[in-house]
Amino acid sequence: MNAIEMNGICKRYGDFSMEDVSLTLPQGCVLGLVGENGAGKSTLIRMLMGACRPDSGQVHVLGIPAGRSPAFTAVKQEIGVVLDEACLPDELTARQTGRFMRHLYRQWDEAEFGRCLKRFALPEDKAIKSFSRGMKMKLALAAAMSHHARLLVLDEATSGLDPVVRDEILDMFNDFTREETHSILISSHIVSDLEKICDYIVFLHAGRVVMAEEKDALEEKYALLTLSEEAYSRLDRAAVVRVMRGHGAVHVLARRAEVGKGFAAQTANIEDIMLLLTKGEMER
Amino acid sequence: MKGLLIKDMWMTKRTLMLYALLIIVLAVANESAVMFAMFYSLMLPVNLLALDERSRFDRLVPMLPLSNLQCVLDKYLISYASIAILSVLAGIITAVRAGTPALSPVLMLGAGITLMAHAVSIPLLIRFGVERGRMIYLIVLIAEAALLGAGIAFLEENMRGTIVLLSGMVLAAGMVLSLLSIPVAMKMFEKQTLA
Repeated sequence: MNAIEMNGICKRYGDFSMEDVSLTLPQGCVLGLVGENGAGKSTLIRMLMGACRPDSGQVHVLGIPAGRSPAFTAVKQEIGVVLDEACLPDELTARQTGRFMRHLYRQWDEAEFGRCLKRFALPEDKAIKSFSRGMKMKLALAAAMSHHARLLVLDEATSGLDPVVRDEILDMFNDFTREETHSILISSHIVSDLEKICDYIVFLHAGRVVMAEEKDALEEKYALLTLSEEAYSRLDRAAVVRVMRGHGAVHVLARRAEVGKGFAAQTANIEDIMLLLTKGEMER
Repeated sequence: MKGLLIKDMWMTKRTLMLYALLIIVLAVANESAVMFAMFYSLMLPVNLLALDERSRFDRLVPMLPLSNLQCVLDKYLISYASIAILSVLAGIITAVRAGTPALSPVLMLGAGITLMAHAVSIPLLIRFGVERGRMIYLIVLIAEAALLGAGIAFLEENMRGTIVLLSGMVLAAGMVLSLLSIPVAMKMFEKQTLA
Protein backbone atom coordinates (compact mmCIF):
# COMPACT_ATOMS: atom_id res chain seq x y z
CA MET A 1 0.00 0.00 0.00
CA ASN A 2 1.25 3.46 -0.87
CA ALA A 3 1.05 6.15 1.79
CA ILE A 4 -0.39 8.63 -0.70
CA GLU A 5 -1.88 8.21 -4.16
CA MET A 6 -3.20 11.12 -6.16
CA ASN A 7 -4.49 10.45 -9.65
CA GLY A 8 -5.68 12.95 -12.22
CA ILE A 9 -6.45 15.71 -9.73
CA CYS A 10 -8.12 18.77 -11.23
CA LYS A 11 -9.33 21.85 -9.37
CA ARG A 12 -10.40 25.33 -10.40
CA TYR A 13 -10.42 28.41 -8.17
CA GLY A 14 -11.06 31.61 -10.09
CA ASP A 15 -7.84 32.28 -12.02
CA PHE A 16 -5.99 29.26 -10.64
CA SER A 17 -6.38 25.79 -12.05
CA MET A 18 -4.80 22.50 -11.19
CA GLU A 19 -4.69 20.07 -14.09
CA ASP A 20 -4.14 16.33 -14.03
CA VAL A 21 -1.88 16.21 -10.98
CA SER A 22 -0.76 12.72 -10.07
CA LEU A 23 1.76 11.66 -7.49
CA THR A 24 2.55 8.64 -5.38
CA LEU A 25 4.35 8.39 -2.07
CA PRO A 26 5.45 4.81 -1.36
CA GLN A 27 5.38 3.75 2.28
CA GLY A 28 8.59 4.32 4.14
CA CYS A 29 9.67 7.16 1.87
CA VAL A 30 9.94 10.92 1.96
CA LEU A 31 8.50 12.99 -0.87
CA GLY A 32 9.44 16.63 -1.32
CA LEU A 33 7.00 18.97 -3.01
CA VAL A 34 8.66 21.96 -4.63
CA GLY A 35 7.14 24.86 -6.46
CA GLU A 36 6.90 28.62 -6.61
CA ASN A 37 4.39 30.53 -4.47
CA GLY A 38 0.93 29.87 -5.82
CA ALA A 39 1.93 26.66 -7.59
CA GLY A 40 -0.72 24.68 -5.71
CA LYS A 41 1.31 22.93 -2.98
CA SER A 42 -0.95 23.99 -0.10
CA THR A 43 -4.05 23.16 -2.15
CA LEU A 44 -2.72 19.65 -2.72
CA ILE A 45 -2.05 19.26 0.98
CA ARG A 46 -5.56 20.43 1.83
CA MET A 47 -6.92 17.80 -0.55
CA LEU A 48 -4.76 15.14 1.10
CA MET A 49 -6.20 16.02 4.47
CA GLY A 50 -9.82 16.10 3.30
CA ALA A 51 -10.05 19.87 3.72
CA CYS A 52 -10.63 20.56 0.04
CA ARG A 53 -12.48 18.53 -2.58
CA PRO A 54 -10.94 18.16 -6.06
CA ASP A 55 -13.22 18.79 -9.04
CA SER A 56 -12.09 15.45 -10.43
CA GLY A 57 -9.56 12.75 -9.71
CA GLN A 58 -8.91 10.55 -6.73
CA VAL A 59 -6.94 10.97 -3.55
CA HIS A 60 -6.10 8.03 -1.31
CA VAL A 61 -4.21 8.40 1.94
CA LEU A 62 -3.08 5.27 3.78
CA GLY A 63 -5.44 3.33 1.53
CA ILE A 64 -8.56 5.38 2.30
CA PRO A 65 -10.20 7.91 -0.05
CA ALA A 66 -9.68 11.41 1.33
CA GLY A 67 -12.77 13.37 2.31
CA ARG A 68 -15.16 13.83 5.23
CA SER A 69 -16.14 10.17 5.65
CA PRO A 70 -15.94 8.39 9.03
CA ALA A 71 -13.25 6.08 7.60
CA PHE A 72 -11.04 9.00 6.64
CA THR A 73 -11.69 10.74 9.96
CA ALA A 74 -10.38 7.56 11.62
CA VAL A 75 -7.29 7.49 9.36
CA LYS A 76 -6.43 11.05 10.38
CA GLN A 77 -5.56 9.60 13.78
CA GLU A 78 -2.43 8.30 12.05
CA ILE A 79 -1.52 11.49 10.24
CA GLY A 80 0.48 14.30 11.77
CA VAL A 81 -0.02 17.59 9.98
CA VAL A 82 1.87 20.86 10.23
CA LEU A 83 0.80 23.82 8.11
CA ASP A 84 2.79 26.84 7.01
CA GLU A 85 1.56 28.64 10.09
CA ALA A 86 1.25 26.77 13.38
CA CYS A 87 -2.54 27.42 13.45
CA LEU A 88 -2.77 26.48 17.12
CA PRO A 89 -5.15 28.38 19.46
CA ASP A 90 -2.85 31.14 20.62
CA GLU A 91 -4.69 31.86 23.86
CA LEU A 92 -3.53 28.47 25.14
CA THR A 93 -0.18 27.41 26.55
CA ALA A 94 1.92 24.52 25.26
CA ARG A 95 0.78 22.41 28.21
CA GLN A 96 -2.89 23.13 27.49
CA THR A 97 -2.32 22.35 23.81
CA GLY A 98 -1.00 18.93 24.82
CA ARG A 99 -4.01 18.37 27.06
CA PHE A 100 -6.56 19.11 24.40
CA MET A 101 -4.60 17.14 21.76
CA ARG A 102 -4.75 14.18 24.17
CA HIS A 103 -8.51 14.13 23.68
CA LEU A 104 -8.25 14.33 19.89
CA TYR A 105 -5.70 11.58 19.25
CA ARG A 106 -6.26 8.13 20.76
CA GLN A 107 -2.53 7.36 20.69
CA TRP A 108 -1.43 10.68 22.13
CA ASP A 109 1.90 10.25 23.91
CA GLU A 110 2.15 12.78 26.71
CA ALA A 111 5.72 11.72 27.56
CA GLU A 112 6.87 12.13 23.95
CA PHE A 113 5.23 15.57 23.77
CA GLY A 114 7.04 16.58 26.96
CA ARG A 115 10.33 15.34 25.50
CA CYS A 116 9.76 17.35 22.33
CA LEU A 117 8.99 20.48 24.32
CA LYS A 118 12.23 20.06 26.28
CA ARG A 119 14.21 19.29 23.13
CA PHE A 120 12.87 22.44 21.47
CA ALA A 121 13.26 24.47 24.67
CA LEU A 122 9.64 25.57 24.60
CA PRO A 123 8.08 27.06 27.75
CA GLU A 124 5.11 24.99 28.91
CA ASP A 125 3.09 27.69 30.62
CA LYS A 126 3.39 30.74 28.40
CA ALA A 127 0.58 31.65 26.03
CA ILE A 128 1.30 30.67 22.44
CA LYS A 129 0.52 34.22 21.29
CA SER A 130 3.74 35.33 22.97
CA PHE A 131 5.80 32.79 21.00
CA SER A 132 7.91 33.75 18.02
CA ARG A 133 7.05 32.22 14.65
CA GLY A 134 9.81 29.66 15.04
CA MET A 135 8.59 28.65 18.48
CA LYS A 136 5.03 28.21 17.19
CA MET A 137 6.29 25.99 14.37
CA LYS A 138 8.30 23.91 16.85
CA LEU A 139 5.20 23.45 18.99
CA ALA A 140 3.18 22.37 15.95
CA LEU A 141 5.90 19.87 15.04
CA ALA A 142 5.99 18.56 18.61
CA ALA A 143 2.23 18.00 18.49
CA ALA A 144 2.41 16.29 15.06
CA MET A 145 5.09 13.89 16.26
CA SER A 146 3.50 12.96 19.57
CA HIS A 147 0.64 10.67 18.57
CA HIS A 148 2.45 7.79 16.84
CA ALA A 149 1.52 8.95 13.36
CA ARG A 150 2.38 6.81 10.33
CA LEU A 151 2.36 9.73 7.94
CA LEU A 152 3.59 13.28 8.41
CA VAL A 153 2.21 15.96 6.09
CA LEU A 154 4.30 19.10 6.40
CA ASP A 155 3.54 22.35 4.58
CA GLU A 156 6.57 24.64 4.90
CA ALA A 157 6.98 23.24 8.39
CA THR A 158 10.65 24.23 8.74
CA SER A 159 10.31 27.80 7.56
CA GLY A 160 11.11 30.35 10.25
CA LEU A 161 13.42 27.93 12.05
CA ASP A 162 17.12 28.59 12.51
CA PRO A 163 19.59 26.21 10.80
CA VAL A 164 20.53 24.47 14.05
CA VAL A 165 16.93 23.59 14.90
CA ARG A 166 16.18 22.67 11.28
CA ASP A 167 19.09 20.25 11.32
CA GLU A 168 17.78 18.70 14.52
CA ILE A 169 14.29 18.39 13.09
CA LEU A 170 15.59 16.78 9.91
CA ASP A 171 17.33 14.21 12.11
CA MET A 172 14.00 13.58 13.80
CA PHE A 173 12.39 13.09 10.39
CA ASN A 174 15.14 10.65 9.43
CA ASP A 175 14.54 8.71 12.64
CA PHE A 176 10.82 8.77 11.92
CA THR A 177 11.20 7.14 8.52
CA ARG A 178 13.41 4.35 9.83
CA GLU A 179 10.14 2.51 10.40
CA GLU A 180 9.10 0.90 7.12
CA THR A 181 5.51 2.03 7.53
CA HIS A 182 6.35 5.67 8.23
CA SER A 183 6.27 8.21 5.43
CA ILE A 184 6.60 11.97 5.03
CA LEU A 185 5.30 14.43 2.50
CA ILE A 186 7.02 17.77 2.89
CA SER A 187 6.61 20.93 0.89
CA SER A 188 9.38 23.44 1.31
CA HIS A 189 11.26 26.31 -0.29
CA ILE A 190 14.37 25.38 1.70
CA VAL A 191 15.80 23.05 -0.92
CA SER A 192 18.81 22.14 1.21
CA ASP A 193 16.37 20.46 3.63
CA LEU A 194 14.79 18.51 0.80
CA GLU A 195 18.16 17.46 -0.51
CA LYS A 196 19.02 16.03 2.89
CA ILE A 197 15.98 13.88 3.52
CA CYS A 198 13.87 13.30 0.41
CA ASP A 199 13.68 10.13 -1.62
CA TYR A 200 11.41 11.67 -4.26
CA ILE A 201 10.95 15.20 -5.52
CA VAL A 202 7.86 16.48 -7.29
CA PHE A 203 8.07 19.86 -9.00
CA LEU A 204 4.81 21.73 -9.24
CA HIS A 205 4.39 24.76 -11.48
CA ALA A 206 1.14 26.66 -12.05
CA GLY A 207 -0.99 23.74 -10.87
CA ARG A 208 0.79 21.10 -12.93
CA VAL A 209 3.41 18.48 -12.17
CA VAL A 210 6.33 19.37 -14.40
CA MET A 211 8.73 16.76 -13.06
CA ALA A 212 8.57 13.86 -10.63
CA GLU A 213 11.78 11.93 -9.98
CA GLU A 214 13.76 10.04 -7.41
CA LYS A 215 16.03 12.63 -5.81
CA ASP A 216 19.20 10.64 -6.37
CA ALA A 217 18.30 10.18 -10.02
CA LEU A 218 18.08 13.95 -10.57
CA GLU A 219 21.84 14.26 -10.43
CA GLU A 220 22.34 11.33 -12.80
CA LYS A 221 19.67 12.32 -15.29
CA TYR A 222 19.93 16.09 -15.46
CA ALA A 223 22.69 18.61 -15.89
CA LEU A 224 22.97 22.36 -15.93
CA LEU A 225 24.70 24.02 -18.88
CA THR A 226 25.63 27.68 -19.08
CA LEU A 227 26.41 28.45 -22.73
CA SER A 228 26.92 31.21 -25.17
CA GLU A 229 24.38 31.50 -27.99
CA GLU A 230 26.90 30.01 -30.37
CA ALA A 231 27.53 27.01 -28.14
CA TYR A 232 23.80 26.59 -27.59
CA SER A 233 23.24 26.43 -31.33
CA ARG A 234 25.49 23.32 -31.41
CA LEU A 235 23.60 21.56 -28.61
CA ASP A 236 21.36 18.66 -29.60
CA ARG A 237 17.80 19.89 -29.00
CA ALA A 238 16.79 16.45 -27.78
CA ALA A 239 18.87 17.18 -24.69
CA VAL A 240 17.01 20.35 -23.77
CA VAL A 241 14.40 20.20 -21.01
CA ARG A 242 14.18 23.95 -20.39
CA VAL A 243 16.15 26.97 -21.55
CA MET A 244 16.43 30.42 -19.98
CA ARG A 245 18.31 33.39 -21.32
CA GLY A 246 19.74 35.94 -18.95
CA HIS A 247 22.90 37.70 -17.80
CA GLY A 248 24.35 37.33 -21.28
CA ALA A 249 24.21 33.55 -21.29
CA VAL A 250 21.89 30.69 -22.12
CA HIS A 251 21.08 28.49 -19.13
CA VAL A 252 19.94 25.04 -20.06
CA LEU A 253 18.45 22.23 -18.02
CA ALA A 254 19.53 19.25 -20.06
CA ARG A 255 19.18 15.48 -20.10
CA ARG A 256 22.67 14.39 -19.19
CA ALA A 257 22.66 11.33 -21.45
CA GLU A 258 21.80 13.42 -24.52
CA VAL A 259 24.44 16.10 -23.96
CA GLY A 260 27.24 15.52 -26.43
CA LYS A 261 30.93 15.80 -25.80
CA GLY A 262 32.42 19.23 -25.60
CA PHE A 263 29.88 20.70 -23.20
CA ALA A 264 30.75 21.38 -19.54
CA ALA A 265 27.81 19.83 -17.72
CA GLN A 266 27.38 20.94 -14.13
CA THR A 267 25.35 19.18 -11.46
CA ALA A 268 21.81 20.49 -11.37
CA ASN A 269 20.55 20.78 -7.81
CA ILE A 270 16.90 21.07 -6.82
CA GLU A 271 17.00 24.86 -6.78
CA ASP A 272 18.50 25.05 -10.28
CA ILE A 273 15.91 22.64 -11.60
CA MET A 274 13.06 24.49 -9.93
CA LEU A 275 14.24 27.82 -11.31
CA LEU A 276 14.52 26.54 -14.86
CA LEU A 277 11.28 24.59 -14.74
CA THR A 278 9.49 27.71 -13.50
CA LYS A 279 11.13 30.49 -15.48
CA GLY A 280 12.59 28.61 -18.41
CA GLU A 281 10.92 27.74 -21.67
CA MET A 282 10.59 24.51 -23.53
CA GLU A 283 12.59 24.53 -26.70
CA ARG A 284 10.33 24.32 -29.72
CA MET B 1 -15.04 16.74 20.48
CA LYS B 2 -14.08 16.66 24.13
CA GLY B 3 -10.76 18.17 23.07
CA LEU B 4 -12.47 21.08 21.31
CA LEU B 5 -14.79 21.65 24.29
CA ILE B 6 -11.85 21.72 26.65
CA LYS B 7 -10.05 24.14 24.36
CA ASP B 8 -13.10 26.40 24.12
CA MET B 9 -13.67 26.34 27.87
CA TRP B 10 -10.10 27.48 28.44
CA MET B 11 -10.41 30.18 25.80
CA THR B 12 -13.64 31.57 27.30
CA LYS B 13 -12.84 31.06 30.97
CA ARG B 14 -11.78 34.64 31.57
CA THR B 15 -14.65 36.06 29.51
CA LEU B 16 -17.19 33.89 31.33
CA MET B 17 -15.89 34.87 34.74
CA LEU B 18 -16.01 38.59 33.91
CA TYR B 19 -19.40 38.10 32.42
CA ALA B 20 -20.66 36.25 35.52
CA LEU B 21 -19.31 39.04 37.74
CA LEU B 22 -21.08 41.63 35.62
CA ILE B 23 -24.35 39.67 35.82
CA ILE B 24 -24.08 39.45 39.60
CA VAL B 25 -23.50 43.18 39.92
CA LEU B 26 -26.32 44.05 37.55
CA ALA B 27 -28.70 41.54 39.07
CA VAL B 28 -28.17 43.07 42.51
CA ALA B 29 -28.94 46.49 41.03
CA ASN B 30 -31.56 45.64 38.46
CA GLU B 31 -33.74 42.65 37.42
CA SER B 32 -33.02 43.19 33.75
CA ALA B 33 -29.63 41.53 34.28
CA VAL B 34 -31.41 38.31 33.35
CA MET B 35 -32.15 39.68 29.92
CA PHE B 36 -28.63 41.01 29.55
CA ALA B 37 -27.28 37.52 30.28
CA MET B 38 -29.43 36.04 27.52
CA PHE B 39 -28.76 38.81 25.10
CA TYR B 40 -25.02 38.79 25.51
CA SER B 41 -24.61 35.00 25.45
CA LEU B 42 -24.64 35.18 21.64
CA MET B 43 -21.23 36.82 21.87
CA LEU B 44 -19.66 33.68 23.32
CA PRO B 45 -19.74 31.48 20.20
CA VAL B 46 -18.96 34.59 18.14
CA ASN B 47 -15.88 35.29 20.28
CA LEU B 48 -14.77 31.65 20.03
CA LEU B 49 -15.12 31.63 16.26
CA ALA B 50 -13.26 34.96 16.09
CA LEU B 51 -10.41 33.63 18.24
CA ASP B 52 -10.19 30.54 16.04
CA GLU B 53 -10.03 32.75 12.96
CA ARG B 54 -7.42 35.03 14.49
CA SER B 55 -5.08 32.17 15.33
CA ARG B 56 -6.02 30.43 12.03
CA PHE B 57 -7.04 27.36 14.02
CA ASP B 58 -10.06 27.18 11.70
CA ARG B 59 -7.61 26.10 8.93
CA LEU B 60 -6.36 23.22 11.06
CA VAL B 61 -9.71 21.95 12.37
CA PRO B 62 -10.80 20.18 9.13
CA MET B 63 -7.47 18.33 9.16
CA LEU B 64 -7.92 16.95 12.67
CA PRO B 65 -9.53 13.55 13.33
CA LEU B 66 -12.97 15.10 13.88
CA SER B 67 -16.25 14.60 12.08
CA ASN B 68 -18.30 17.55 10.81
CA LEU B 69 -20.66 17.08 13.78
CA GLN B 70 -17.81 17.20 16.26
CA CYS B 71 -16.38 20.31 14.59
CA VAL B 72 -19.58 22.32 15.07
CA LEU B 73 -21.21 20.80 18.15
CA ASP B 74 -18.77 22.30 20.64
CA LYS B 75 -19.97 25.82 19.75
CA TYR B 76 -23.57 24.79 20.46
CA LEU B 77 -22.71 23.07 23.70
CA ILE B 78 -20.75 26.10 24.88
CA SER B 79 -23.77 28.28 23.99
CA TYR B 80 -26.23 26.03 25.83
CA ALA B 81 -24.00 25.79 28.86
CA SER B 82 -23.44 29.53 29.02
CA ILE B 83 -27.17 30.32 28.60
CA ALA B 84 -28.04 27.78 31.29
CA ILE B 85 -25.35 28.75 33.81
CA LEU B 86 -25.71 32.48 33.47
CA SER B 87 -29.52 32.32 33.41
CA VAL B 88 -29.64 30.19 36.54
CA LEU B 89 -27.18 32.53 38.23
CA ALA B 90 -29.12 35.64 37.25
CA GLY B 91 -32.40 33.93 38.05
CA ILE B 92 -31.27 32.94 41.55
CA ILE B 93 -29.98 36.40 42.33
CA THR B 94 -33.14 38.02 41.00
CA ALA B 95 -35.32 35.57 42.96
CA VAL B 96 -33.42 36.26 46.18
CA ARG B 97 -33.57 39.99 45.58
CA ALA B 98 -37.12 40.42 44.40
CA GLY B 99 -38.81 37.38 45.88
CA THR B 100 -40.19 36.30 42.47
CA PRO B 101 -39.88 32.67 41.27
CA ALA B 102 -36.53 31.93 39.67
CA LEU B 103 -37.98 30.18 36.67
CA SER B 104 -40.00 33.19 35.56
CA PRO B 105 -41.86 33.46 32.24
CA VAL B 106 -39.55 36.31 31.32
CA LEU B 107 -36.56 34.00 31.81
CA MET B 108 -38.15 31.27 29.66
CA LEU B 109 -39.06 33.77 26.97
CA GLY B 110 -35.55 35.19 26.98
CA ALA B 111 -33.96 31.73 26.80
CA GLY B 112 -36.24 30.71 23.93
CA ILE B 113 -35.52 33.80 21.85
CA THR B 114 -31.79 33.54 22.60
CA LEU B 115 -31.74 29.92 21.47
CA MET B 116 -33.41 31.02 18.23
CA ALA B 117 -30.78 33.73 17.80
CA HIS B 118 -27.99 31.16 18.25
CA ALA B 119 -29.75 28.76 15.89
CA VAL B 120 -29.75 31.37 13.14
CA SER B 121 -26.31 32.89 13.77
CA ILE B 122 -24.01 29.93 14.32
CA PRO B 123 -24.45 28.23 10.92
CA LEU B 124 -24.08 31.53 9.09
CA LEU B 125 -20.99 32.51 11.05
CA ILE B 126 -19.44 29.10 10.36
CA ARG B 127 -20.15 29.55 6.66
CA PHE B 128 -19.05 33.14 6.24
CA GLY B 129 -16.64 33.61 9.15
CA VAL B 130 -16.83 36.26 11.84
CA GLU B 131 -15.26 39.05 9.78
CA ARG B 132 -17.59 38.67 6.81
CA GLY B 133 -20.50 37.62 9.03
CA ARG B 134 -20.26 40.68 11.29
CA MET B 135 -23.41 42.17 9.81
CA ILE B 136 -25.27 38.89 10.37
CA TYR B 137 -24.78 38.76 14.09
CA LEU B 138 -25.38 42.49 14.49
CA ILE B 139 -28.74 42.06 12.80
CA VAL B 140 -29.48 39.00 14.93
CA LEU B 141 -28.48 40.87 18.11
CA ILE B 142 -30.77 43.77 17.27
CA ALA B 143 -33.62 41.45 16.31
CA GLU B 144 -33.10 39.46 19.50
CA ALA B 145 -33.23 42.59 21.64
CA ALA B 146 -36.32 43.87 19.84
CA LEU B 147 -38.13 40.53 20.14
CA LEU B 148 -37.24 40.22 23.81
CA GLY B 149 -38.45 43.70 24.60
CA ALA B 150 -41.62 43.44 22.53
CA GLY B 151 -42.31 39.93 23.78
CA ILE B 152 -42.04 40.88 27.43
CA ALA B 153 -44.25 43.94 26.99
CA PHE B 154 -46.87 41.97 25.04
CA LEU B 155 -47.02 39.12 27.53
CA GLU B 156 -47.23 41.39 30.52
CA GLU B 157 -50.05 43.45 29.01
CA ASN B 158 -52.14 40.85 27.27
CA MET B 159 -51.43 37.35 28.42
CA ARG B 160 -51.28 37.35 32.18
CA GLY B 161 -53.33 34.18 32.45
CA THR B 162 -51.34 32.16 29.94
CA ILE B 163 -48.00 33.88 30.28
CA VAL B 164 -46.23 30.83 31.66
CA LEU B 165 -47.63 28.54 28.96
CA LEU B 166 -46.70 30.87 26.12
CA SER B 167 -43.23 31.50 27.49
CA GLY B 168 -42.76 27.77 27.79
CA MET B 169 -43.82 27.34 24.16
CA VAL B 170 -41.30 29.93 23.03
CA LEU B 171 -38.60 28.12 25.01
CA ALA B 172 -39.59 24.78 23.46
CA ALA B 173 -39.59 26.33 19.97
CA GLY B 174 -36.14 27.73 20.63
CA MET B 175 -34.86 24.31 21.67
CA VAL B 176 -36.31 22.64 18.58
CA LEU B 177 -34.92 25.29 16.26
CA SER B 178 -31.53 25.00 17.92
CA LEU B 179 -31.46 21.24 17.38
CA LEU B 180 -32.51 21.69 13.76
CA SER B 181 -29.73 24.25 13.36
CA ILE B 182 -27.02 21.66 14.07
CA PRO B 183 -27.27 19.70 10.79
CA VAL B 184 -27.46 23.04 8.96
CA ALA B 185 -24.24 24.11 10.68
CA MET B 186 -22.63 20.80 9.68
CA LYS B 187 -23.56 21.43 6.06
CA MET B 188 -22.22 24.98 6.26
CA PHE B 189 -18.98 23.67 7.77
CA GLU B 190 -18.60 21.12 4.99
CA LYS B 191 -19.34 23.75 2.33
CA GLN B 192 -16.85 26.17 3.86
CA THR B 193 -14.21 23.46 4.26
CA LEU B 194 -14.46 21.77 0.91
CA ALA B 195 -14.82 24.90 -1.22
